[in-house]
Amino acid sequence: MPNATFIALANVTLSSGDPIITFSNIPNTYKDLFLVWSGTNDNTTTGIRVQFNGDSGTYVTTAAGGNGSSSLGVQESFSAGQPSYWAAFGDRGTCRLDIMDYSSPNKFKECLARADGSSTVISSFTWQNNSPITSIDFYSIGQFQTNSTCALYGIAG
Amino acid sequence: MSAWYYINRTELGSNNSITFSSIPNTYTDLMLIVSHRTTSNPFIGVYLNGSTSGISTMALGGDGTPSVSGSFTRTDDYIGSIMQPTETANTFGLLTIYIPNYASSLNKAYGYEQFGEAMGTSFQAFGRTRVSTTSQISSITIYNWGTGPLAAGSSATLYGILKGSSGGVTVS
Repeated sequence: MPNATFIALANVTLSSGDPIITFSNIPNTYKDLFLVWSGTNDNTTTGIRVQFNGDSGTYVTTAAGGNGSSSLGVQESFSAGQPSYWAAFGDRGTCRLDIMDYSSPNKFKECLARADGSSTVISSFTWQNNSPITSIDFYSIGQFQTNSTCALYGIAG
Repeated sequence: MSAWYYINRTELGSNNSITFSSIPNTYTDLMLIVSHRTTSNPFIGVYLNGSTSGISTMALGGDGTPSVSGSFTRTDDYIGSIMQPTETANTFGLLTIYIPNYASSLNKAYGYEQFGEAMGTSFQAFGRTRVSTTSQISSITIYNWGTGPLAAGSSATLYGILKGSSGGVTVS
């Protein structure tokens, strides 16, 4: 019997609007993390932010996106990762994050993101911190709406 | 406990489309991985539950030339391009589709990435397709959106992903 490599860690379905979803007590026993969100938010112009370990330090995001009539290419240093950059999710969307080597004690953490709502954005962002990730704040500029879901998985190396 | 389960795989022995049907509602999300090539027009289409209506797509795409690259919207089941006969022989493109909450009673939205291979003719796209249906997704069809079928050797594998909790991780 092969070893399981993709493990469900935690999940939530919102019963009311909430601006932030926090995963805590993440063990260091996996190689990578995979987060998937599905739902809507109430902000029509901007989307989702991510912070690790509650840190508002330096996150550098590089993104390409479009909304059908205009395209975006941007690189920006900010106090949070910006997986959707300006993508909105009023029209039900998805956001998937691959967080590589999250428990490494000696490298900055890299995340590949695909965010698709009223716009679609592919991006990567780097948290310029060597600390192992033990918590993830996944938050909306507005509020995530009722029935939005978010799940976290661990991937064994 | 694994959260990723193999459901089924098919590889075309002759030119055709691919349909997964009778998908059970026992998972949280679905992941579909397609290796594709066509015998004629280079477009790929995907539809759910046998319906090509109520679909809207927002995507980014490009083939390496500025005049073709950019974002696009669609209101049909076209999602991108497919490996075509003029491209390198015996080479197949890649399509991945992630469908969260496919069994819920809410409208569905899935994310996808589509890649070709051939220098100069391949079109890559990634985006999101919204499908106005509150029914569980019980079938998925992948086909040549233009004329002609998918080529023999095209394949698709469907996985189910099951949410859960373990390892002491909390969420609030």
